[in-house]
Amino acid sequence: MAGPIEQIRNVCALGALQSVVAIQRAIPIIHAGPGCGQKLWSGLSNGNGFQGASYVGGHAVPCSNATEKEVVFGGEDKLRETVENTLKVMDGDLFVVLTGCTSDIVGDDVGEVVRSFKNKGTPIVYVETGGFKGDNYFGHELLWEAIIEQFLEKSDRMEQGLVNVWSVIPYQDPYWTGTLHAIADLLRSIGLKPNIIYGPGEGVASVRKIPSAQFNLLISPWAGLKTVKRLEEKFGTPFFHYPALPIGATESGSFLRSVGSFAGIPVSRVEETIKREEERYYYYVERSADLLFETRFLPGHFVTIADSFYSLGLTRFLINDLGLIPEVQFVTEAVPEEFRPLVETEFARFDEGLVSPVHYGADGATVRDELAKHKFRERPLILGSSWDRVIARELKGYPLSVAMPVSDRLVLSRTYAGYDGALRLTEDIYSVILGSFQ
Amino acid sequence: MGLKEDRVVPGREDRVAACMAYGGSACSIGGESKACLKNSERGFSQAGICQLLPTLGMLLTLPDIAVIIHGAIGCGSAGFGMNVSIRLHHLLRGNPNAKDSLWFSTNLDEADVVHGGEQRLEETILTVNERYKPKSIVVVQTCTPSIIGDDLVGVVEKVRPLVEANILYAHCEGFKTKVWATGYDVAFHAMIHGYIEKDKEGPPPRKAPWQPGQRPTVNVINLASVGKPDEEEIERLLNAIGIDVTIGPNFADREKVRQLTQADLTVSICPTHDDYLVDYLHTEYGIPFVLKDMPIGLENTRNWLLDIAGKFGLEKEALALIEAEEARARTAVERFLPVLKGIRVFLSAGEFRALVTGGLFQELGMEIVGVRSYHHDEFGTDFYGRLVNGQQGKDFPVDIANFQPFELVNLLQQVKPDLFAGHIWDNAWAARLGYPTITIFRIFDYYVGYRGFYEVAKKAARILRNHSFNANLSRNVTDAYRPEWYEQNAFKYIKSGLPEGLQSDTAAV
Repeated sequence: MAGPIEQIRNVCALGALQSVVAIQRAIPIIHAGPGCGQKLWSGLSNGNGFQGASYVGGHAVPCSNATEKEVVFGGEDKLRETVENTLKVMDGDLFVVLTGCTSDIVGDDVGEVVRSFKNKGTPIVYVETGGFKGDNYFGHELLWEAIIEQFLEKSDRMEQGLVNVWSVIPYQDPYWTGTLHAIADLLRSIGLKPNIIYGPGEGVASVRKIPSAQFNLLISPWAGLKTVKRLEEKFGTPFFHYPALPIGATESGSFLRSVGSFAGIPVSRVEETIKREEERYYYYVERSADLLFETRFLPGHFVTIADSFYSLGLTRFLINDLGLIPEVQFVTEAVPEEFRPLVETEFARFDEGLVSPVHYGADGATVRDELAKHKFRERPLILGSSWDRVIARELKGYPLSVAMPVSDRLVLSRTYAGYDGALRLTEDIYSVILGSFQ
Repeated sequence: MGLKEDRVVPGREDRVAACMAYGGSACSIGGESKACLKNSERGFSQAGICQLLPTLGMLLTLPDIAVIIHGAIGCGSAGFGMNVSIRLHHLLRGNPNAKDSLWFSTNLDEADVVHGGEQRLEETILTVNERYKPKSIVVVQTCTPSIIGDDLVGVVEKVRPLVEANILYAHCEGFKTKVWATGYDVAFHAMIHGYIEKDKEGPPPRKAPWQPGQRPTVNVINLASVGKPDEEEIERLLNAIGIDVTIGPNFADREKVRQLTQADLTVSICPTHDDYLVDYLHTEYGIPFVLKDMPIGLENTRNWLLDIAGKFGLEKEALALIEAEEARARTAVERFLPVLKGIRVFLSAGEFRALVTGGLFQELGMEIVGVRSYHHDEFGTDFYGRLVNGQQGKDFPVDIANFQPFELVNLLQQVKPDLFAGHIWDNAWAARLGYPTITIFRIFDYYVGYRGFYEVAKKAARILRNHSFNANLSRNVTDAYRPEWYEQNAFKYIKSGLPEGLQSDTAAV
């Protein structure tokens, strides 16, 4: 059983509506009360790097705005009317009905309503994402289950080299847009053709292409595994699972080698790419060495307070590349029991002296209580959310907001993934340190 | 019934026959039947907001509180963003070390939906009290526990004697009212019950009525959308005519909220925001009130000040102040007038705010070409007519809409204003279409009184000098509406409250 949560760092299953918003020209239709959309958008988007409403987010999302009438007598008629008129007003290529708590508790037959439109040829799917069913990591996978079952069609040919990219969750990760592009660039650099579903690009066409890919690439500790497994079952597309978000030379090289090997890219091609990227990367790293080692503005031990994508990805980079020492790591989402061993293994892949305790499903109370037990002799580096700036101040730490909610930064195309991303991260960390006394 | 007796705050559609959907014009809205307006709705709508947002927007301003959102985790999503905005308010108030609110969600899941969430709520309140010792605990009821039948009041009253903190409870289920302004009432209800009616010391005694010769103290009811600069302007004007001011209940602590019962007059700066509280102070404490104007623009400020002064025989002082301040303000804005003359403005905000700001723009020589109000109630009715009269009878379209940007963009493309003045989350839609935009409120700036008159003029002149960002944006982004939508009546999906068969076509724009 879940318990009360202090300082939320993710939202409910209906938060998947933002994953729909992230697909260009896909239009979510919320079947819920009047405030659900605004709250989720404000938490995931505007309260998280000021990501904005985009094409059809924020108050533009069609919504049945359920009232007492729909709760007492059922909301199917209201939904039918909302969908019918959405199709007349909104310009989209895929419509996704997402339900909230009210509809799921009263038991509206949303499937029936949506099928009646689908039967007339409308590209529409539905997903029951009542907030009490789970968090938005869960909701995101429900969404994909729905799209796979209700929208995707088997392709009669496989496109060699085409790779569907599954990784960070749009909007939950304030850096998702830049991150997906960085991953696409890495894949292109070894000759693969990335299919990026979210953000600027092909929009719904990239969704339709999913079944024709050579393979599905999942870069994630655990979230998304259900989706790629389902795609394998349904379309026979194999998947390659790389657990850590590649940040920096060590992890990016390792990622390119393993994905290259899986995809059957010649080793020489991969090694040439890595060599070229590393030469460029280390040109900049070399320049940073004077600051790092002459001025000795090194932070003390580091703490990450982020979801498993970032907690693991950042930890790998900070230990393997930047040479820092971990103190304690907080994974903020509730990793489902079945995936815990997988994630734990990844966090344990360091020399014994560099393995730090990891707290899963950590909320504000966990962070506060746990950090109170640690004695920081030097100013720690605290990579967390904007919630954590308060405790960072108390500990005289160096805070950098990297995880939801991020309210102290405007995020557009920034990313910490890949080679360039790691340089950005190094710049950001040292800008915080240098800015702290000036 | 009223604030004191209401166990749960009634929706404004029932309490004041508020309307959420109307498309017509400034001349037509006054003639509509209240019953029809109240019952009208949309056949297509976009995501609005629910009463939880304004309720929390107010309750979060209270110092040293813990908030417990009783529901699924998503209902607390807006938490951090709201925390940041309240922190900004505190900074402007010279209070940089104000503590963030403590945030909790009872995080109800599928099992709780089956078994009920009362026990979880009770334990959470007790734990929060024990661990963090906040001065107040705000407990918020959301849709899920309400539908499954959790008795919020029962739980709160059970634990109230066990905790030191004042407990404020708020029923904020989104599905319960279409009129999110009900949330203001819910917040007032929570504060009054938490700090007065159910306070351990009980309600304060009544104060003796004001006697001529005494220096009066008035309550000014503040809003989360009125920043510190505006509060300073209000205080400056009232002090100047010999009136002391207690500003609350937002940003007030328990003592200050209780102090509201000891004033000689309650003054509203936004009638549609305040009537539920004003009525309580009047009924329970005999405090007279001024509830009909908002001091934005010269004429409205004049009326507002004279109304207040009249209650204490201070008309002469008020008139002298008004003459001097108006003269100064008119001179100050002179340099902006050539740029502003004849500019056609579209306004979008809460009804009252939009309408009084329209008056201000007319005083600057501008013309009102459209109003989009979030809801409509009787407090606004006369002000539509006043705006029409203020521009030689020229009528303009009026859209009553809880956001609904599809109607807004359609209207804007028909009206093609020179300037758009909008509430938060409105301006970006107009900017995407290339229109110059200014915020109709922002907590850092002045909008109220004479200082506000000058600052709004300056702000409008500033954006008209360079709105290249908006122009570039409109050339480079597409919007989510089908091209044919722009050829249709913006009010096509508004269904009037008339019974079926009596429906006529909605008014043309």
